[in-house]
Amino acid sequence: MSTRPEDWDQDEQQALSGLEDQLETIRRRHAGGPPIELLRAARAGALPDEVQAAMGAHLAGSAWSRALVEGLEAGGDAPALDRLSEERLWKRIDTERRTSSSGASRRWAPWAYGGAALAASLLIAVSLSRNDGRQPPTAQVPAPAGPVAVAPPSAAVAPAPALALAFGKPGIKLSAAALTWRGAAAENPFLADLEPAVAAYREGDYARADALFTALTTRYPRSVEVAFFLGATRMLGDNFAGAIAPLSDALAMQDPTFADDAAWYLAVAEQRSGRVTEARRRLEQLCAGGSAFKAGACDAEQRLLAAETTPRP
Amino acid sequence: MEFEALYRQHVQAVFRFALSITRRRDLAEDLTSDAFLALHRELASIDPSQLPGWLLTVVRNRARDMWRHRLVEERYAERERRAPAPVADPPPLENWILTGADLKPVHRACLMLRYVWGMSRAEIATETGLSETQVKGHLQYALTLLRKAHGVREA
Repeated sequence: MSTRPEDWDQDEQQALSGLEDQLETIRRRHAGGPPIELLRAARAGALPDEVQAAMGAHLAGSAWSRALVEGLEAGGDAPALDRLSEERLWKRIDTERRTSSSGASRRWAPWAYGGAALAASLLIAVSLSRNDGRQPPTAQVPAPAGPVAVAPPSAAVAPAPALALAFGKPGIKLSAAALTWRGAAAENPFLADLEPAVAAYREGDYARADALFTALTTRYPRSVEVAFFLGATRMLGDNFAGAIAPLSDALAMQDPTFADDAAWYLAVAEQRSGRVTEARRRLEQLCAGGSAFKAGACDAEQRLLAAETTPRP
Repeated sequence: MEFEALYRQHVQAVFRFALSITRRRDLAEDLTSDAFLALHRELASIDPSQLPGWLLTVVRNRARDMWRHRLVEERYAERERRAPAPVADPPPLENWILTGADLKPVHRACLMLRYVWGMSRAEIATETGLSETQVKGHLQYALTLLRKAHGVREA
């Protein structure tokens, strides 16, 4: 991405000759404007209410942004899903609906893709911190930065025996505290320290991930990421009893990004380690709440209840 | 109607909508997948006549979830609250981009993305859903108009 005339072709250079100063003025005038993905989401009404309202006000007052969005929409139609992709997506959905019997083992995870979620979050942090004076590099749109991560279908690791709640591998995400690091991402020691553990976790090397996350608990005892992913790592390594303490820690931190996940995975860990009463109580709370785990928790609670009331041979 | 039949019937509309929001195929596929999984969970209570609207709402809500947690929005909101006044009055070129008589919206967007945002033609194609060839054509047309306007101004 470049605004340097040297990067333009001859036709462009000729047409814009003498207008460089005006272009620079235009860039400065709009350097603080919203990123394209935000404008696009606003037009689709796909933003949280507060941001939607702010963006609505911005669009109402900015002819420039309105023209940009209008032009984007006037471009080509979104291409269709080709046949192969349609089949691949169907297989993924079909697999996941069969494996995710609890219905809550998967949540959308904008930044759990391509094995580079953490790197992507770093990219976001870098791009944000570096773009105070110019338009954001929107080729990354929308760079995966949401906090809720999705395990791909293949990552549903724990089979669901009769009385064992199924769960999926939680994707990597970061809390707002980690994301709101103000400096360049490369200067964020927490993210740098976290990365090896995350890499091991992502690669499925749960023994190494356990050791690395455990080491981080000393250095970052108040990190919800460390506590939560240590718990998840242990669950994925079939150490359900060992997952309870770090997941309880994660839950106790009351971080809005992780609270529901911590409660859900803690309930599963409790159930899988025989602490059914605690698990049921927690599932009951999740079921009564409004989180994305609600449906799965209600279903799991009913299954546990049914299992308890079914006479055993 | 069976779940797979519903998928076949509506997947294209859902995917296109998701892609129109994200412009990233991987994320659009994830949104689409999530919407159909939600449909599968609620299948018993969904009237097929509600589709694909119900699915599109799921996509929109999932996108909302994503944004709710994104640092971008927090920082943008902060920036908006303390946004400084524009650094200068709009130069004639900005007014021409916005109001040039023969410019269509897509020309304006291509001009903005190319010369203000500094995007390559390929990046503009990704953003707009146009082909690179189409982007090049729109830019050439817009520059031709600009030359005319520029010439008139200089005369």
